[in-house]
Amino acid sequence: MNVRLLRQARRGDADAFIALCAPFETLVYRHCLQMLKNPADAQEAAQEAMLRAYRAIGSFEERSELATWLFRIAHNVSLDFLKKAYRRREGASLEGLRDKGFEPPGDGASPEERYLQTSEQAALQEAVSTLPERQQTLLSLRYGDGLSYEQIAKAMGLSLGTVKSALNRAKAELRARVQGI
Amino acid sequence: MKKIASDDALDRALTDLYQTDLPAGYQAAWRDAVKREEPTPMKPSPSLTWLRRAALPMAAALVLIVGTLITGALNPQTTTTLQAADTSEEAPAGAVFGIATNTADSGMERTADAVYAAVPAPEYDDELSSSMAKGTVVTAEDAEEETGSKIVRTVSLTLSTTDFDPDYDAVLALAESAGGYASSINLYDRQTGKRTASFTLRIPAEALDGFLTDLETVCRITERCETADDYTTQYSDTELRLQTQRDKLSRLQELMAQAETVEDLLQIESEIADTQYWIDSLESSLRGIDRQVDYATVSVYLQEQQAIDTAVTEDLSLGARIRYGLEATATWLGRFFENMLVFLVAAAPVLVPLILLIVVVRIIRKRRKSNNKAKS
Repeated sequence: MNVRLLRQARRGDADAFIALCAPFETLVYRHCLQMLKNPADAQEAAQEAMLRAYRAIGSFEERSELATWLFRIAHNVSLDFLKKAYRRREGASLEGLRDKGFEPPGDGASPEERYLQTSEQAALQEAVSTLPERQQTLLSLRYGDGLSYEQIAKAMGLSLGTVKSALNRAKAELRARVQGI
Repeated sequence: MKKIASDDALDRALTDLYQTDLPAGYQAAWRDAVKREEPTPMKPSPSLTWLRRAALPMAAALVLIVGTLITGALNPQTTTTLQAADTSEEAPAGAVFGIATNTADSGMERTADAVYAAVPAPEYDDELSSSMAKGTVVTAEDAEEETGSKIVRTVSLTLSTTDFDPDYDAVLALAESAGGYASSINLYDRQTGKRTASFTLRIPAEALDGFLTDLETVCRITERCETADDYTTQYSDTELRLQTQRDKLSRLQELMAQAETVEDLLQIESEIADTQYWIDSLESSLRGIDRQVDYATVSVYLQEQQAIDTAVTEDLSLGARIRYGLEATATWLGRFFENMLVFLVAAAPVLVPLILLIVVVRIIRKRRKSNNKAKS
């Protein structure tokens, strides 16, 4: 982590904050999207998460990595969005949504294929969501951003060995959970 | 679920799961939002800016002024100390007393020699001690009749003068003419116009009043403190104790004449030695009191003052007072700048590197600022 940038960001320097957090913007958006399932909501939540992070950077104590800290903020913001959406949806019906022109998206696959695909992904995502935040962050950077182990280690300020072992543990955990379903 | 049992399958499934396309505008949107949130940098208020800019010069001025004042206060002083050993018993009349001179200037030393050489040393016709030496018995009543009341007079004077050198000499001359002598002289030559001298004079008791009257004609006495301590009772008691010890000594001497064994002789000799010690000590006390009674101690503190300080300003015209005031200010300013020059030269080994350090630090900070601006 760039200590100088962090110090400047803590003083309220927006440019320093952007330089510091830009490598993790996809991570933040992706996690919001996984939780909210809606690109528009995810974008809004990710933006809100970044703003919250900027406001709270002064209290960032470096007990965790910056990526994990941002991931947690994105998670909390997404939870807030879900609560709001739940309150909004109370009383709403599918018929009412269709009256407003809403149609569920279709990808052309047969209902059976779609069922299998979605149920498999849902199970995997469910399993991922039970992992510790750091492991989720590592998985997201590895498979979402396509970063190498070295790049992840550099981005998160961890050693290469730590990254490798944490990812291996995460995958082993996932495999065990998915097979158990 | 068996599909993702292998590593490759799990990797593929995770890649699918995390497959995400960032929506257009997301990156710009959150950046803009953060930038909008950025607080506008607080411009320091003009007064604060002024204060910050003035801080360094003010600190420098403060150091300069304080340093100058300290330099003035620490101005190396020429101190002359002349110490006359108050061993009147040993000093023959007319002898030059022992003189210890520190940082003596030649003039001072010459004056002191002249004074001490001219002043006769006090003579103590101590019949008491001579009679004791002869072994004559002197009763307490006899001693009191001889010595009368024992009053020790001590006077402390502070004199102010505008003509330091003549008055300095006059004080010593008066002491000489009164039959006294100076037991110590300290001359503090701090700076022109502020010299001081302190004298410890021993003046014959009978000539003390005349000496003080004469002194008033020479200088302005600003402070005067006089004490008279009665040592009569103490003197009588000491004499009685002395007599007792002498009686004891006589008896011991008689006993020694009659002693038959060596042990007795040794014991009596030891007792005689102790008794003789006490006799010597008591005799010394009596002589000390005699000296103090015969010669009053006069402590004189002579201060040189500027003319304006001692001038009777109420008798002067307004113009003259203003002129005196301006002259005093000009003198003070001249001395202040002299001290400042001394301070600057003396502190140069510290000040020059310090100033260079400050300049270098400021240049580095300026460069860093301009670099940061260029980068941003």
